[in-house]
Amino acid sequence: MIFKKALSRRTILRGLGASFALPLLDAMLPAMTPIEQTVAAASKLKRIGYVYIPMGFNPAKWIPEGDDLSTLPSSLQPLEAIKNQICVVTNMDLQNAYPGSHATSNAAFLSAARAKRTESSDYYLGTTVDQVAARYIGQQTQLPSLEMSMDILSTVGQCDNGYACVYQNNLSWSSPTTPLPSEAHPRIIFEMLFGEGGSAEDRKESLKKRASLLDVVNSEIHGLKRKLGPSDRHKIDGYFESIREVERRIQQAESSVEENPLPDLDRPVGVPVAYADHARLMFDLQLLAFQGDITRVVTFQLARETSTRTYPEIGVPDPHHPVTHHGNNPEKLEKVAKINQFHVSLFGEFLEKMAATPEGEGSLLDHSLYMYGSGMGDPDAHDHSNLPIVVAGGAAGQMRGGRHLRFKEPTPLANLHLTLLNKVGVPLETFADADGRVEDLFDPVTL
Amino acid sequence: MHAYNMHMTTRSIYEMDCRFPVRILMGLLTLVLIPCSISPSPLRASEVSADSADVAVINSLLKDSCLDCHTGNEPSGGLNLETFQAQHIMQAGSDWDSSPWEKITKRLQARQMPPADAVRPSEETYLAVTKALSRQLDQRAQNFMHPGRTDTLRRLNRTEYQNAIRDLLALEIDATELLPAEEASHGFDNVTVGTLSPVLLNRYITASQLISRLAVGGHLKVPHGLTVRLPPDISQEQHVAGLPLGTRGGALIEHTFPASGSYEISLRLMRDRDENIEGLDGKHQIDILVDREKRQEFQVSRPKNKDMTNVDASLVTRIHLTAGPHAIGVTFPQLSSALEEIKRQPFEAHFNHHRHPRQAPAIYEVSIVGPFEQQPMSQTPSRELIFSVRPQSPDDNHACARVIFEKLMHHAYRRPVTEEDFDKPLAFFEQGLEEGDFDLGIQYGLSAILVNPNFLFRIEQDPTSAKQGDIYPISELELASRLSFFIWSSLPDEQLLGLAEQGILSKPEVLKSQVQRLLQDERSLSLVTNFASQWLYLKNLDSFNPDLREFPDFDDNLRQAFRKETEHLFAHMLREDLSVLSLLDSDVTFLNERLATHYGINHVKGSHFRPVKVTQADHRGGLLRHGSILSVTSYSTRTSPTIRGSWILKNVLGTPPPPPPPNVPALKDKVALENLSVRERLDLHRENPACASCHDLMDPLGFALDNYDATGRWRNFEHDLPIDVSGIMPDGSRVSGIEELEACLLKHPELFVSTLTEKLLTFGLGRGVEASDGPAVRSVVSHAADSNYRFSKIVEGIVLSPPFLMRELP
Repeated sequence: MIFKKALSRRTILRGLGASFALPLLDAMLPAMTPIEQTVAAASKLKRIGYVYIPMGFNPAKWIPEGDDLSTLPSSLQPLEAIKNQICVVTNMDLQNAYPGSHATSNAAFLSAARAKRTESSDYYLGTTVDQVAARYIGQQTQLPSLEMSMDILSTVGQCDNGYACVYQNNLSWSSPTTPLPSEAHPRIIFEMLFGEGGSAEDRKESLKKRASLLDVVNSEIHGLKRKLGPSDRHKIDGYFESIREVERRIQQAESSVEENPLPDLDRPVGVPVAYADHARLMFDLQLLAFQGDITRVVTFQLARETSTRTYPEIGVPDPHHPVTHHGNNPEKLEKVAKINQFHVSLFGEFLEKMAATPEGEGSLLDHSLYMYGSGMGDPDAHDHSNLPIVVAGGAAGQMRGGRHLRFKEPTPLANLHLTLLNKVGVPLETFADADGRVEDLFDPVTL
Repeated sequence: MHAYNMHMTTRSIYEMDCRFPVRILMGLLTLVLIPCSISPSPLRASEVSADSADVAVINSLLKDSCLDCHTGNEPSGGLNLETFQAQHIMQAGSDWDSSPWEKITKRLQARQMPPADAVRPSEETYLAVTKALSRQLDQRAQNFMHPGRTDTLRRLNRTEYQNAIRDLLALEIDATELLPAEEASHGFDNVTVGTLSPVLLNRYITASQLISRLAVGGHLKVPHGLTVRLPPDISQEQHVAGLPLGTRGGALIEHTFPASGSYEISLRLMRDRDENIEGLDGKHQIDILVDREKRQEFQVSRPKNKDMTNVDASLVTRIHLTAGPHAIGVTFPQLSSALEEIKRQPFEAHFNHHRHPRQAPAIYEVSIVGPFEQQPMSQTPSRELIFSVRPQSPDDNHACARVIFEKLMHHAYRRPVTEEDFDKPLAFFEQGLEEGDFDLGIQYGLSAILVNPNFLFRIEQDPTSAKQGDIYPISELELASRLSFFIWSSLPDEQLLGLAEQGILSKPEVLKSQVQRLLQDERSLSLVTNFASQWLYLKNLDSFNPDLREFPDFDDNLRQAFRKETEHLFAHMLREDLSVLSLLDSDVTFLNERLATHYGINHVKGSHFRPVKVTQADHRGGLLRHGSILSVTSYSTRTSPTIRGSWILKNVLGTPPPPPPPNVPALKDKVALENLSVRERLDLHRENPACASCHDLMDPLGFALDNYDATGRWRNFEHDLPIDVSGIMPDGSRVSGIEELEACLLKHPELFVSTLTEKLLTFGLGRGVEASDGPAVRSVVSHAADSNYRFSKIVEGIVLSPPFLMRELP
């Protein structure tokens, strides 16, 4: 075995002075890290997805007893058929989400960052993992990332005290000050992914028109910038970034029009009335987007924090949020577990479909990683410890499924974020409050 | 004497009537703004003595009533007042922060401090101190004016975009289909609108193409689809407003069709979870109407073999439609025999298969796809507006396009058009001309106008000569946009732009008459549907879904009726220019049959809303008695006195409860609390001083409303327990029930008026109201007091206030 000495990239640059193109040096790999678990593993895992559930869980019905998944507790029961391709991870926490709130649960889930307490436009969080991934692995596809949610209604004035609604509504942030709105309308997502449809020729023509309209925006904003004072110019620079981004997407779409292996699909027109049907359609769109390689990074908020959605279809006619303030009332706890199970069942169906869709030598699921969970642990206490987390897929990257990883000490969720990012090919040394990696999620390589 | 720190920019001196700010401000704001470089006049002796009297009153109150708690290392509320001296207000330099003093003033005005269990000043002292504080802070503002700074670049939000398209192109669109929602800040969705994410940019591009295609019409390569689904919890047993009398249920769809031709309309009926069509007994007729004229009828009945799979598969027809807006109605002619059946049912709501099933079939979905066999374009309102000229020969194409684009750009960009502006639209025009015809050229050119940042953004620039710390009047054109976006949530019209271009819009008498004109225009309805709907949380009604076991009578019809009642009350005040206090205190409310039944008020028949005189026994009238507000502040299973109280503090009294302190201690033993009532639980909660400081303010307000259940129905009992609506207000007075609560709120009307003013100012400026806006708000309120707070006087006061007219370069 090769002994690797940890050396940060910064050290290298300082030490060598002038830069010359370096192959990834052994010395840059963190010491004692199996090579497969680091950047060097030109990963076969090419996509990553995150699914969020609000308001934590009922641990008694979620946390498996042993270290394997031979018996799944009721909340995870729907994953039975696919359990060899998942890992249940327990005792992870989000210290930066404290003091406990709904807004920070959602905001910290993918950023592991502390949300600046403000109701105004000076909100500040951190770049979220999906957007970090989008920068590295999303650039080859038409959409660097896809942000989806289930709630079309937008509420006003009802967000957590002291926190702007953006924290509660947006899982994805492309910078600490740029929350990315998500889309809940299946038709609009379809159009983002596949346009209006039509023949390849039509689609190319329409992309060309979009490019020239973008050009109008670009030249006008250049003109505007000249007229503005220095304090306002930095804002304009943000617009240019968006313009370049849209430009890139158009080019990407142009080049993929002909290669697109997708059949002509029926555009979904409305929003299915039943929650489960809507969620299934949203998962189906993720599958299609992956299959067509239109995007490689997806976030999906299955419900919003403080959602008062009722689930009469599974025998929980009570609104979700008040139920989760269970006060250890066994009836309410049972309802929390039921909602947990219902959400997991939708995820499980999707995983099964992914596993049944062939790709390369395996399935779509084998080449994808999904992290599913909540930024809140015990919703009654609004705490952010012992979070419910499930990791799925990853077989092509040697993820060892069928296990329950139980940390003895509370461990930052950022460790898992870092591990997963590295695994899909993002060369990151650290992330937020990470103090390590989740070492045995993936098989070490035996040399 | 303080250095005079207001630098008028050269532009403001030379381009504008130099006396203008003085006139406005002296007349309306009692703010003396001395132009240019002259020093302020020395204070007269009487003012000096008034000052020292004010200072003495304030300081003695601080000493006697505040310092017991607001002192030491751990002062109450984190506010240490030991070093606070009233003379600082006038003496401190320009960077002094007035916010703690403004907060103190507010808390005293609301009689929230000192707390009820402390030694409290007399009412006379309260009055004297709040007056002195306001006077000192207002005087200070004369020397150190801070009109604040709106963001330089503000994107039209979704609502504004939709209205702008309506006014620019005579085209009604549903922007929620095209653009993502904005996030709300400071309670409004037009505040954080400075960014342009890739998603938004993408959507704007798509929207510009769709809208220009729709406005010009024709040129569709493939048929397009529109699918309308009705909410699953809508009852369809009664007449729907807008559809012919004698029909029940169904939907009225107003839609603009892009081309003339035949359109396929297909219907689906509501099914229950077993996939059976609900309420399908006997024979039923379904009519399809276009602009109220019947164009097709269908018969449906229960199949003999009970298999309902294909019952609605045959509900498809093709109808010829001309381009432009049409109202497509789909409805059931009322069967007289069905009436008796309905009346036997105990509930008003009819959509739940298990508890209160539908008595007759209902429409679930209407799909319209087309056009097939496209025909030549017909005239539409949009085309009439756009094609003001037509080329007589190909040689005229270019010149005509210029005329068309000039008019559109002037309106869309809200400023005179420059030669450069023509470049892009004309280039697009040429391409369209080449691909198709003149119309397609205009369509392409229009799409280039609609993505132009001059349309999408409201831009307020610093004058080139402005220096740091300068305060300057915004330009006439910027003012025109501020006005129209405030009152109409849309583009300024020709008259406003014209006045701005002549440079006379900012004259106070012109502004005043424009405010009146804009308020009287139909477009000011946006103050109801956009402003009031956000202020009062009406937008949250859509996500209010009460527990159907507890409230079997609730359906979407009632939800929509709730919204309408409140919108009508606000619109009534706006149209009649009544006192804004009439929102809280009204002996008229607006009802239709559905809502009147819910409220237990007899003799209101039919689906339309009308004003209804109410008596004390009806328990209806003011906002706090509206089902809308009572329900959006409730949980789905019960009322929440805390949320209702917090709502009143935020939206009526303007003293929002502070955020809960970090590390809120948990209730000791939650299991032991299970059998307690909400009131008992909250009583326990308030025993903890950390919780009490806020819950003492919130809970009693909410308890006073507890006669209204979670859907706003009147009740005297909750289950078996009598409702207790008593509570102790922050000032120590006892209030019991809605009548006394309203009286208590109206005792100090300036609190409610200030809150509404602050909300309007936030909405009008698109920024949060700061402590430095305090003097302007007080001035608007006292100015409006003379007219007993007529709505138009408040709007006028805001428009003439420094924050609205001016801007500062920090």
